[in-house]
Amino acid sequence: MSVDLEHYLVVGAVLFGIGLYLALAKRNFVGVLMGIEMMFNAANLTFAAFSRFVESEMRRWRDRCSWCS
Amino acid sequence: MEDAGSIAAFWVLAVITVGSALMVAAARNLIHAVVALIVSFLGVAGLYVTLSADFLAVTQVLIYAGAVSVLILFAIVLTPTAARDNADSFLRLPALLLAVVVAFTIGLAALETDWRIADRGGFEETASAIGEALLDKYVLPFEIASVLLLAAMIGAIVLVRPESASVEE
Repeated sequence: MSVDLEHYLVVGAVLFGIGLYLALAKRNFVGVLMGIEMMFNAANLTFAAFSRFVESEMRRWRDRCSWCS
Repeated sequence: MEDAGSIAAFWVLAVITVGSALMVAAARNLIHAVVALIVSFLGVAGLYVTLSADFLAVTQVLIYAGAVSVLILFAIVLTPTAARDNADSFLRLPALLLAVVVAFTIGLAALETDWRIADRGGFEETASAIGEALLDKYVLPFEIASVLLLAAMIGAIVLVRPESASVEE
């Protein structure tokens, strides 16, 4: 058993869902702000997970291209 | 990430993050909700460490667990006591339904997609590479961003200046 990309993505999806609920359902605006920050966190977490696990398409292009620095 | 310590760290951090995020939604007092939110931010910072994104983890602790939570705490403390409850509005059930559907859809898409998984190395430090990229290749966007932040700061000071100060001049 190991921790893969999908684990991080599911954690990010759950965090995004909780943040969406907070942003939509809270009456106080500070609660809405907390939900928005939580959605930012979920998005950042998925970005970091993709950067860690997924093969970089841009790096492959750069390796193939002969004239770019 | 195969050793038992990393796996245990991921699960503990994931449970802490999601659990305290649920406590933010369940707390009746806004102060309690902010404390749970700080715990959730710190859990995300720990998840960044398990992703070997050390610079991102430190930034998360500084910006989110430090600055953003202090901003929210100030917003709560400086408003009247009547506004401290964290009650749900009439949109509670539709919002719950929509949030569950969105999270389920994203999770299903993440599980069903055939990601192009790269062979990844060990724990490598990223802070020096980020610093070099910021001050070497991307120095112009970096400077533009700092000038933009300075303009925003001066604009905020000008906007909240009391009227009497301009009268005295």
